[in-house]
Amino acid sequence: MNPVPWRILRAMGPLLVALLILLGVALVVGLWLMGLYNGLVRLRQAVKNAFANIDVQLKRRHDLIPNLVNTVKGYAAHEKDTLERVVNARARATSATAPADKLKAEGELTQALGRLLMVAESYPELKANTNFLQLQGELTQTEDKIAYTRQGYNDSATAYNTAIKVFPAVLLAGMFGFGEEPLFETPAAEREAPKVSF
Amino acid sequence: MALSAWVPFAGGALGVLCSLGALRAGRRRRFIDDTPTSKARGVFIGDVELKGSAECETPLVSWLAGARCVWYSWSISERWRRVVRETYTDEKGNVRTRTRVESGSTVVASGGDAAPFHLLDDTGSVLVRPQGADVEGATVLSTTCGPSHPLYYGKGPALAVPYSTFERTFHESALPLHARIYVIGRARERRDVVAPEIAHDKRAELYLISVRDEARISGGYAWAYWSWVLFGALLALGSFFLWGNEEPLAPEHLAFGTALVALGYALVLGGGWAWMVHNSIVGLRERVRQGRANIEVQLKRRHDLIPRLAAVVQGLAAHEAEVQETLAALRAQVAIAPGVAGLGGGLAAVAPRLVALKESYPRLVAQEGYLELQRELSDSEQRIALARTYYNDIASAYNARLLVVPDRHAAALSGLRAEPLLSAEGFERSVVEVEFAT
Repeated sequence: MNPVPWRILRAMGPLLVALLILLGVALVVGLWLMGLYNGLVRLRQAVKNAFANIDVQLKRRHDLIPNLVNTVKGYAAHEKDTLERVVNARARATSATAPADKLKAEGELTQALGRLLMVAESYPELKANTNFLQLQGELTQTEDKIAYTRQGYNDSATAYNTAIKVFPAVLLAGMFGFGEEPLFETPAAEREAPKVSF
Repeated sequence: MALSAWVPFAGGALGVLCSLGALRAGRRRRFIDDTPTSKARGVFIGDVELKGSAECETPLVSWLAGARCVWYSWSISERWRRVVRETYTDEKGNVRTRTRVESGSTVVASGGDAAPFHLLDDTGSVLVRPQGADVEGATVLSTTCGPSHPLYYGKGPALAVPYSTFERTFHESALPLHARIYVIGRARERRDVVAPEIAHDKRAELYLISVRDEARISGGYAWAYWSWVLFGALLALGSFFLWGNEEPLAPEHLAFGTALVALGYALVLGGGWAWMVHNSIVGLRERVRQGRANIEVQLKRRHDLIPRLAAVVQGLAAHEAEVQETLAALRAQVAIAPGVAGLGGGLAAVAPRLVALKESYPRLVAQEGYLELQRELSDSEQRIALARTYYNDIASAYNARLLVVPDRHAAALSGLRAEPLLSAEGFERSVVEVEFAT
């Protein structure tokens, strides 16, 4: 049995064969290194992405909450204003003596009451309550979302930190310039429980 | 015929593959043992382990047993048996025929379904999407029957396999509704609501949903580990021994060679074990740090949320106070007025409402806001407590790894140190006085 590759190898001589084997080993090691490097690059990119996602949520909070608060404030003011109008109109209607004035005052009162009823169909249960409660819910959900995004960041950073510290990547990560990514930290002053006092 | 020299090499390579299988089982066992069980409310984005009952609003009904479940998988196999006549040449060179009986079974139908379900425990529930998970269900049906049984043609195909003995085995396993289950996998954020969910993730070490309890699952992996180790040793040593015996090698060479192969296998396995254990402990330490950072996340959440919620309640209370005062004024006016209905035609429509206003006192609504704040306060503290519990649990698991033999030697290779547990300050340990008088 004398297959063709074997004959070629014999013709090449031992030096060339050794060189060929060396090249093969170098190729395999090179490919492995490339895979390792690319894997770490991807993981680090995922960490950056996760960090940016926190910013997305913080930006959402920054843009959303003041507007929500203003909306609730606006609505509460509207509710109060409407009630005051009813009170004032009612006062005028009862104090008016001239028929023309009385008619006018009653017209105003009807209008004001109509608005009040539009405000709260099941009067006297006030509707601003719902807006306030909704705002509380929104606030909680926003903070929950931020918390989950931060956990997502911690998870990405942990995956990356693990990948650069396990054997054998740990031998090469430093050489390739892969450093540890920090996890989320809260400033010391913010760790204490906030005091709720009215 | 002498065995080729490739046999011991192939045996050795298979032995190495087996030891890789053993290390994989060992890694998974350590992962299950090291990961603390989270509560549904304490689920964070990352690797989590949960125990609870499977709940679903629209449960599936399994195909064969008709059991209410969240996941099921069924198969029907049919037995066959045939007699084969074959011709062969015996030692004397005569052509002969003989008959042989072959039998077996063929899967004629199979299927299954999975539905997202909620894993419920004493703190709440979390959505689990079983697609892509390794599911170990409970056997809800396992029966072998003939054509007279209603299942036979009722659920199985009408056509028989060739040489059928008309015996079909029906098997079905399921995750029954309300069953206690164990889940280990990765949590991610849900897209529809602000909550986590457990779903398939290709980065996950393991995504397992099982009706078995944790100790049994862990024991199963331990069994798999030792089986692979022994099987690999058997392959490596056996192939060498077979080859050496056939060659034949001198007895002392055979003994020496076998010892060499055994040593080589032990070295490969030991090196692989040190590698696996070291990496597993390093990964565990990183998860300990993740646990600590997740406490920070919850502390930050509390810091950012509670004062805002309190401000909203204050806003609501102030608004209510003003509105109540205005309403009181309005009520006083109505009381003074001689008759609401007599005011004029335009008012007639709203008069009943006005009377209602006069008669019923508006509910104090700010209470709901205060209740909501109370709930959120408790919820925030519970989230923090769960994050701290998780941290202490995983840090304890990690610290224990640094102490037990032989793990401590693998950990010593890269100088891993224990992580401190959390504890309360002295003054925080005493009973909290509840006082309302100020």
